[in-house]
Amino acid sequence: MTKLDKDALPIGLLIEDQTLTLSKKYKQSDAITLKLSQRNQTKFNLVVEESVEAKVIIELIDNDTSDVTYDLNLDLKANSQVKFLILTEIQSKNASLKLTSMSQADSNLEFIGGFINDVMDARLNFDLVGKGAGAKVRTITVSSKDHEQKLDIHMIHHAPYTAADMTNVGIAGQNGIIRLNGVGEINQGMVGSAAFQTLKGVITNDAAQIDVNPILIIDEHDVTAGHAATVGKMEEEVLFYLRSRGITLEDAQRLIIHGYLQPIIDEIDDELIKENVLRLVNERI
Amino acid sequence: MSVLAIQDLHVKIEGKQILKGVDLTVKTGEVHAIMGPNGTGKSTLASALMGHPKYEVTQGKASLDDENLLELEVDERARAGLFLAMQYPQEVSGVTNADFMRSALKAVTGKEVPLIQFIMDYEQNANDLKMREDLPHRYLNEGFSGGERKRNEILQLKTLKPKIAILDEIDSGLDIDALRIVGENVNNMVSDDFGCILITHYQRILDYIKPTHVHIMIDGKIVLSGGSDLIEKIDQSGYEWVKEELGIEFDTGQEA
Repeated sequence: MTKLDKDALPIGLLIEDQTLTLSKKYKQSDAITLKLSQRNQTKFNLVVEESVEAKVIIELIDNDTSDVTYDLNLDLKANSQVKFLILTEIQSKNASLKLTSMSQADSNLEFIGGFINDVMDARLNFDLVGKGAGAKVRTITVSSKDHEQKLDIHMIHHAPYTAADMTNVGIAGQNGIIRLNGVGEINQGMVGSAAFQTLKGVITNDAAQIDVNPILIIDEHDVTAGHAATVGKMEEEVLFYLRSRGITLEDAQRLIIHGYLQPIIDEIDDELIKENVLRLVNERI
Repeated sequence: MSVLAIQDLHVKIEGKQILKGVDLTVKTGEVHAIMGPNGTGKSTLASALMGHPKYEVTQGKASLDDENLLELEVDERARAGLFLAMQYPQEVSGVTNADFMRSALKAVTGKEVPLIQFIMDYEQNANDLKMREDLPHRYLNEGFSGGERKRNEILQLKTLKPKIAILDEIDSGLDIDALRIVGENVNNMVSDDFGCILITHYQRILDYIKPTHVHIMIDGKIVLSGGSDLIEKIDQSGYEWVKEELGIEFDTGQEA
């Protein structure tokens, strides 16, 4: 990214050091796709100016197995409308990823994350700091042989009339491990806010492990909130049903896994990324 | 012509002996109704033939043409030409009916099915069963009424075209219109390439699907076989007369 010729960039798109700024003049319906590969950049900031509408896709690919820390910051100014998709494939045996997002008044963030890493501790913080800000978070985490991924997702309401919604799906095969913590926090006085969480986990066998912890901390009466969490092994009866139609055990498992992911994958509106996510998931399971 | 041959089949579930020696031969072109009181092993026969992991075959044989069914995995049995329409079809969220059926059709035919051809045939079949137009895009049985689920089983049957199908209480819980639709569709399938076993404890479905053979199953065995005259007898006097005629004792108990 740093090698880009700045003058060749579309109007309103600025890149300086580790910061990509979408200025007020930026108007594009096409997605901006950035590939951060092999650690040429482990810090990245995105600043979206007032009222900008944008789609940003980040592919984070890293084949190095040594320790690494990634820092990502999103700064969404008032009334900005952003779709942000991040796909991470990090093969480090000890990776940490910190992502923070600040949402100003009336901004809207649709965040989709795909976590297909080896050993990763990820902390995602979404701060809704401006009145009327909304953030919708969807994540997919897939662990297979010897993979251990932890995803800590915090959505904190610092302003009234803020809306947070998260759906996190984990799939673990072989001896893979996934820990999903979803935390929603509505501070006192943040009236009219809404916090919803759905955490789902499915394991393909008994050696795999998924923990899900949905947590809501609410210090205000005038809010709406809800959470749901399910973890389960693939049901024997469902597998029997699919196999009784001639579908092999492997294909039946794949269909069921796609079933879990479909609602999230359907929200990815970039065909190439969609295929890429499905391919990565299939390779793992 | 294909033949499903069952000999002296004994089946246990969770250590309990349910089937105690079932003999039955079903050829394509034939419709065998298996009737009997609740809890006598009719559904066990269906699930065991399909290879449900909870059912343990302890003795006997079952083959479809020259394939030994008991040595095959569930999906291999399906690919050999066997089909089970389930009593309680499962819901599978996130998997659309169309994706499911296309995968299944590819598996049983062993070849890629052209998409357009598939869609046309599938929609035609769905239309024959008077199913909702958005059916292909709905998730498999999710939010389906009881009747819709049963019709979806028949839709799968029509799409996959097995040699022999076992219909496990496909009539239970169907209203009169759905019963007629299901009955007529199955009846129209019967041919030199298709035969079926109808498991039921009501007679209503038999108004639409004419059985060539009728069997009465009691306490894990087929105790009486005959033609459609048996249906009338059961209709009029239940199963009590069987006790007297054969000199056997049994409970007309409830299913577990």
